Amino acid sequence: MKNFYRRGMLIIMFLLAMGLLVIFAISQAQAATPKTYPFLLQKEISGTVSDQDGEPLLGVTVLVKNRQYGTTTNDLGEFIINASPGDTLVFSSIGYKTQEIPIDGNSQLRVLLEEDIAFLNEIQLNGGYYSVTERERTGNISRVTAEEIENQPVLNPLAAIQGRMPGVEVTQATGVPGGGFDIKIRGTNSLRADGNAPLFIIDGVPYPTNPTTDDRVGKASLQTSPLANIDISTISSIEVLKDADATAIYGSRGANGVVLITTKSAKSGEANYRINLQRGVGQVANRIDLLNTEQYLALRREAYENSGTEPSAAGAPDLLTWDQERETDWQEELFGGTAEFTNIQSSLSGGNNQTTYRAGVGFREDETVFPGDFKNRLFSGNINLDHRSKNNKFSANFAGNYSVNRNELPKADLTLAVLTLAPNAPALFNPDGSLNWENSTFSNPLASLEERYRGETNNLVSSANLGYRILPGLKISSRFGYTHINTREDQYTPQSAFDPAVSFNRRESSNNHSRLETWIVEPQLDFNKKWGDFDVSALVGATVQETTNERQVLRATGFNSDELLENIQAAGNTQILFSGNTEYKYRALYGRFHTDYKDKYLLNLTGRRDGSSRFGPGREYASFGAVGAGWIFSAEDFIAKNLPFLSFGKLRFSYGTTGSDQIGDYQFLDLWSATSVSYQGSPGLYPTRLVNRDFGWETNRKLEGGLELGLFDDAVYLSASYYRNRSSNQLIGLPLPGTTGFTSIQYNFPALVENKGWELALSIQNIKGEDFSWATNFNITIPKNTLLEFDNIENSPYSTTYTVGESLSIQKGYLLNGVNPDTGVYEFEDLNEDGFIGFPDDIVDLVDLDPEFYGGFQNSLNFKGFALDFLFQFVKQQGRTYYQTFGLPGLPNNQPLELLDRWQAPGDNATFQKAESGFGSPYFAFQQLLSSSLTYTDASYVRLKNLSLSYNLPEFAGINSRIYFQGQNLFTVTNYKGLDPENAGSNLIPPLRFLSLGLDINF
Amino acid sequence: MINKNILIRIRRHTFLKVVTGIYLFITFGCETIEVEEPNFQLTSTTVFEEDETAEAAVLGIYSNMMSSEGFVSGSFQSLTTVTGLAADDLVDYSFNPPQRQFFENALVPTNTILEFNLWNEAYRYIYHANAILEGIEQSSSLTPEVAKRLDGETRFIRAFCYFHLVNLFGEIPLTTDTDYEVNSSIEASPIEDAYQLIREDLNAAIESLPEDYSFAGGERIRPNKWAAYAFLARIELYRQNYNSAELHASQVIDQSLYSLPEDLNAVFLANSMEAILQFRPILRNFNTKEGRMFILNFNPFHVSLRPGLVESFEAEDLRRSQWVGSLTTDQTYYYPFKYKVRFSPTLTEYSMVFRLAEQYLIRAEARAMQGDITGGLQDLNTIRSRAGLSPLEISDAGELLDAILLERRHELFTERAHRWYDLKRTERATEVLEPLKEQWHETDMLFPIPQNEIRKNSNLEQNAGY
Repeated sequence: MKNFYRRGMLIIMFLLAMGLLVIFAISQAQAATPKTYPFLLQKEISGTVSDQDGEPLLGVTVLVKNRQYGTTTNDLGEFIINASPGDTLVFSSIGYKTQEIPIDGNSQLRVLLEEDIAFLNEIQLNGGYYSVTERERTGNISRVTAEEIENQPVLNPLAAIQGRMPGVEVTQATGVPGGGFDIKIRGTNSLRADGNAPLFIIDGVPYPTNPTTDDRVGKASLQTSPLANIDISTISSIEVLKDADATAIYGSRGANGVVLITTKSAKSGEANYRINLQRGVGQVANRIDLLNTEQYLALRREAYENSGTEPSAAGAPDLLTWDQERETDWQEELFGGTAEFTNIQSSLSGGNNQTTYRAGVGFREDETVFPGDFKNRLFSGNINLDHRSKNNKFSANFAGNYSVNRNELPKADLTLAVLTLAPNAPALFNPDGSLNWENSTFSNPLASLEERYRGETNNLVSSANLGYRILPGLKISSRFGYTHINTREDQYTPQSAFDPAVSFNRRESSNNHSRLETWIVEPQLDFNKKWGDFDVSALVGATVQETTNERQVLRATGFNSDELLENIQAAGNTQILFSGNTEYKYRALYGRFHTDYKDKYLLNLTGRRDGSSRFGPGREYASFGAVGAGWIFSAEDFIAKNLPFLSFGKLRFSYGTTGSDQIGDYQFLDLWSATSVSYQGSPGLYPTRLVNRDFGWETNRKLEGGLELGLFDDAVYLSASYYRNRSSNQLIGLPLPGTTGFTSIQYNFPALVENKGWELALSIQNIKGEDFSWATNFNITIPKNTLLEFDNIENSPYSTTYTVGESLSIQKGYLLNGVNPDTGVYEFEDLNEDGFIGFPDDIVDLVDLDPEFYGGFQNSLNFKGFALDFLFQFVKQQGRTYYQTFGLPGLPNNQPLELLDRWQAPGDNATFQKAESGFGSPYFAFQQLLSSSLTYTDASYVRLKNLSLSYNLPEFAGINSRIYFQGQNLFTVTNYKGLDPENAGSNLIPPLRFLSLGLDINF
Repeated sequence: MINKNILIRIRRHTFLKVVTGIYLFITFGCETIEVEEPNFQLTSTTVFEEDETAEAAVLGIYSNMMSSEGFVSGSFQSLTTVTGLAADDLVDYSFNPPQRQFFENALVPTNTILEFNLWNEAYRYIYHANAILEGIEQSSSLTPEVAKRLDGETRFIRAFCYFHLVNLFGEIPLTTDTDYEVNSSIEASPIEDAYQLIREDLNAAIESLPEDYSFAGGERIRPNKWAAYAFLARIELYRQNYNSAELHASQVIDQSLYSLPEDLNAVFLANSMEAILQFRPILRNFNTKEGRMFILNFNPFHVSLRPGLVESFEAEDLRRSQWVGSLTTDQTYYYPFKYKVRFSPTLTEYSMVFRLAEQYLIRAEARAMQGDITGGLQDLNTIRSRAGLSPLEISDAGELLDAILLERRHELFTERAHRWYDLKRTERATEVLEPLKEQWHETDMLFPIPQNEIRKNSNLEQNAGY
């Protein structure tokens, strides 16, 4: 009540004051002549201007409205101006929305300017150690914002950028929740398959890309991705750094590009509470046409006839003992289910000019399409605190993201079994509900689902960023980061997973406990100053990083009961498969110098000196650097005069070097490990690897040229770039013949790989009205990968994998001539004419599996409260056919329907050879077929990747809510015959089609 | 709470490290980054600094051999399985293509068992052995006697690996050091060179190895001097140096350390009197991998004994009743029953590598080949009588040789690769296998060099017929 009176009094006083002011003003207006300033009433108004993040803004124009004078802010964002109480101050600055503030008797003002992104070239981009506007950038940085990410019902952040960025190729490895994604930024640089991952940074802290799960615990087929531990609803933007100018500041880790993930920070203002609920289903969108029982059995019988053998009960139960009439659509039965998912997030944010906060929690649960109760759950919590002292000198930001991923997914992916299971295979279950083994003639695919897997990953990413402005334009800051990923996974193989009639004690449990910890400290000094027409910003910093990885993998066998599997004490035998830790240390010095002259000519120098413990003594250090330059030609008078429709135009160029140290720890040491078993009572030792002590950094030289054009006030914005990256000093596991004792050695190979290409991004604001707006984004990348040099390739083990002048993804194999009408067996081109099809003399370059081009086409439409957003993703590429999946036609595996077109009698002109059940010539011809021209096919596709439709409900009692529908992978247009062209030839469950409904409430 | 701890922790690390880090950078720019060596591994110099770790390095070869499923482990992808299938001892029930190819003598050079379980695995042990030999040579801190013994033992192991490689593949590369640059482009050596290297290694082993098993804890699980002699006797038999073969076999037979147990069921027991060298199984809850693999208690899914072998036993042969097991379901399946234990937590059987009966048969054959019919017959009958068979009366050398080879088949079946090597060295493979195997070719007697091997080392050539 007291407050009420006080507030009431204040209002009354305020109204009285206003009334007096009005009377006074009117009387003054009458008294004063128009040209006379009311000096007597003028007083000094002072204040500070800062941006949304609280950063003081320099050079903001402060004008007194309708009068002819003004001032600008200094380095600390401060200004002083004389004005009368009735005046209005106008604050304006390029890149910010102009703000008008009436003085109303205040003499102290704190002004916050909002970024104006009406002009695309004024967007602020995160460059990692600095931020830069789209206008001023000299490097290549792509960005996807929270708005686009939130439109997608996906789990993995990488899924959210698929098709949305030029030069970034994302492929989903499996449709199992939490499964892996492959990301390639501007192609394959390294000959090492595992040396092409970009650097991931979350809020300034490096995040590992290698799974913390362990293959030995038997979930390898799911290819888990640590990034799936990040709740994507907490991401405010994902920036991808691509060229030398942008990546050289990351030195040795920048060769494959850098992905910067920034989590949401707080906004000042009244407390805002948001809750988002979403539920949906996923399903396998496609089926393969397979043989039915009649067709399948005919093929099988034919195979035995062709091989001249009689089917035996052991080798052909499908022909001899199983029901010949039975028919099951195993695709429907085993992956025809729906995978439900639930997604809930809620957050609270708010704060004042000094301190803002944001806290949120999230929960996501995904099921699988397989029969059974399998779940992947992600619980997450995050907090972000931002503080700035009153004098704006000290700033602090704390961000913490913690998540728990509970994974109870099947151990094995059933897809291969589903596709190849005989259509007349018996029922999966006995009438009593137990697994049916059909008198030991049926290896029941559901048996693998009996093997339980349970994984829990606790994931913490935290950072603190403290800064102090020592002098105007000079700021010292330091970032502290800490990441901790703790994984524990158990897998239990009960006896029930095996045919009770034919099995000894095969109970087994395996367990992996691993811990990955990274801490990083990055002190940094930032400097900004304007000298005449030169605007300079520079920074210098250092990085100290340490990563430790601990892992212990156990296997226990000899349990007497399935019930005891979870108790390792009950094991008859426990074996430590691995126990140990590794340490990685990294330190660096980095710097950047940026200047522009008259806001037209831009120069950017970046560099880094890196040291990594992954290299041997004397090889630890290397330096990397880049130069970037830009010319904003639209700022030139002659352009502005002659091409008035050109709102923005920039040419840019960059060149520099980056490196890669992705080779694992201790590779330069000659190490012996302990065997996991004992002989004569004690464990033995064995040599772990061949050692090359002299390997050094892989280097990557990047060149880029770009053109950015904004037309009609940036309503049309085009960004085109050409890039050329060359990787040399290839650090590869040089494959060695077995006679060396090992199969490879770490080696700097004199090979040169080039990735070049064109990237084009186009945004068009088709219509922008009050009620209706329509924007279109389009991006396309035309990449080209070439192995430029490879000394003496003919005599190296790579001669059968690579060809100089061709892509690294070139596939070699035999040339298929078709099926011989007389013998019914495939025939291949005998290139060396020795009468024999052999390796490597008869193989040629067949196809390049790199995409020819890829991209996305996105539209956003808004009509009153409705918003519709959809993205088409397209890829033109070749891929593997599905023949390998099905194996030799004639063996007890089902086959695709096209196998009807097989050779059956002499004279047949068929696509496929005759069925065969043994190891005769068709068997060998089939092996050769698997690396022949028939193995590759067009796998291009256009996919409605994402569609989101939402409607803003009318505000009700201060509550803003939005209902939405989101769909992912809705339909695909392709000629590819397998389950999915995205990962052509894979035997894993393809990316699912998701449909979901959600409700988003804000108050 | 968590955050707070972390921050404290970071601060503690931070301040010193940042300050020193920056300072060092600015002043030196490139001092060494020191990481702690991993706590689960040792560098090669450390390994050979002390007797214990050098000893462990040698034991590591046995551990790896016995934990493998390939090469000489006696397990599923070992040469016991694949040569048994390739010869006329075993029948395939796996229907697994790579294994099936051995059974049908239709090997392709891309066969994975061939590449990973035979070739690569053998060379891995050879590298391991070479690394030990180099380590011992370069070390000055090992006790001389220990160094000498380990050197001899390692040479024995290397010879053992080469013996199998040369018999499986014919001309093979001989690597004697760890230099990958040399070993990756090495050419194959003539067969005689391989045997020469084996002989040299075994002679060195004979020099260095003790006469008893005390260094192996009293167990017959590491080669002693007599094992080296027994091995050498086999080598000389294969090389048709019958005089030396006889001599070396006698040297072993004459040792009181070894004798033939009366009871056939006692032959394969751990440290049996007949054992010259056994490998100690490492799988807990199991005994030998042979026992685990062969003994049937339901329809075979891997291998079973070829009925022809079972039928070739004389009716009263105790080995037929005691070393061959059978299981009748829809039909009768036979399996090798030399090892009686399929699984058991108590270890009672070891996997036999060299045993006395073979030495008798070596001497019998060597004597027969030198025209000593009486001596040869006597050794043969020693083995026959233990199997409960009446002594043979033979006067013709050729007939005696046939009898010895049949005896070898009955005595040594499914013990690693005896049958396959016997067919090969006596050039009887085609005669024996052609009627049994549809796809038999004379050239099948040598396995192909793995395709990847030729791909990676262009100095290697494929064996004829592949």
